[in-house]
Amino acid sequence: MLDLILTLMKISIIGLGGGYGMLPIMREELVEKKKKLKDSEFLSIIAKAQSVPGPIALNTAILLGRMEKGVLGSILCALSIVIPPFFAILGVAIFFEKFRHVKLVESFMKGARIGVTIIIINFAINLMRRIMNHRFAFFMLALLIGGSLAIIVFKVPSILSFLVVAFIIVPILKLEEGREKWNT
Amino acid sequence: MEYVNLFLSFFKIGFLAFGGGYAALGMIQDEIVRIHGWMSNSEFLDLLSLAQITPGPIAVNSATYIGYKLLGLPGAISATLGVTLPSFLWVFVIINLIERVLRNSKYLLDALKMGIVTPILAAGISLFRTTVVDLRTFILAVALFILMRYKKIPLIVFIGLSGLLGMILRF
Repeated sequence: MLDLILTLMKISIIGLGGGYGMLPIMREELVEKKKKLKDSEFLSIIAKAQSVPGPIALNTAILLGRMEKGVLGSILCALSIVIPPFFAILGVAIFFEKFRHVKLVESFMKGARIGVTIIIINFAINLMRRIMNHRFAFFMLALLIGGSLAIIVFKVPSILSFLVVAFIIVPILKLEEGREKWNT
Repeated sequence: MEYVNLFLSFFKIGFLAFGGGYAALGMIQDEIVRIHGWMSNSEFLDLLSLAQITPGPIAVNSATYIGYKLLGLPGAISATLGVTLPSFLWVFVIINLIERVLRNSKYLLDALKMGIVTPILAAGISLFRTTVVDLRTFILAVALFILMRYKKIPLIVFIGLSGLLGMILRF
């Protein structure tokens, strides 16, 4: 258990770039180096972590802890993956709030804002492209775009729009035969 | 009371973050910028850049940063707890319930993962309208978009690069 906690803490610090950046490192540490899990076990944990809401790295840590020591284990593992980054981002926040008005920092952030905007738009495009191999892809895309316009133009709360769109998609998915799996 | 509001906002986001932390960003933007007016779009993007170049899950990092910025250390703790607790609920309680109760829960989960595109796309458009204000920013946005689509660059490098370009172009 202690071994798992230390490994997760290490992963949380070296895993830059969010949850998806952490998964390959997790696999390397837990499957290849520590031999705690078989590759197939790790993959089934990832699949489950992705099927429930929430950050993938956190869900994976909770599932690993649960496997090892039940509820207590999952709490300890969650803390191991959350606490080191918590202090890292806190440090960054304190530092940045002090220097945000320095001209050079401002220019950097203005450029970075455009970069982050592009990352988000690209993420949305990638998710929409995955829908393209569905039989009713066109109708689904129209629904998704309509839903986002409702948020922007008619100020519908995004959670409401998202849930309504999802509930309309359910019967469409049922209609489709031989549908593709929506994994990863 | 403010701590409770912050906690509840992030609890809601964590509870509905189908498709992982990145997918939650659309809802976070809506909740933080539009519904509560706690931050501007630009401030939101700044924290995302910093969350991206700091280790850790992006949704958790964002919650910690927003909480800290609004209400100091206790705020950081409330928001971080709010976004992480729902994962426990899902893993220990709900996933077992829906697997048993709903035969077509697979369709529902799939549909929710598709529907989450809605807030992400809306946030993307809203953020684009904030950051791209003239020809110069438009050209940079298009160049970065092409780079993103055709070259596989780690996101942290991508952000560093766009920041550097901002410095070179003297934004």
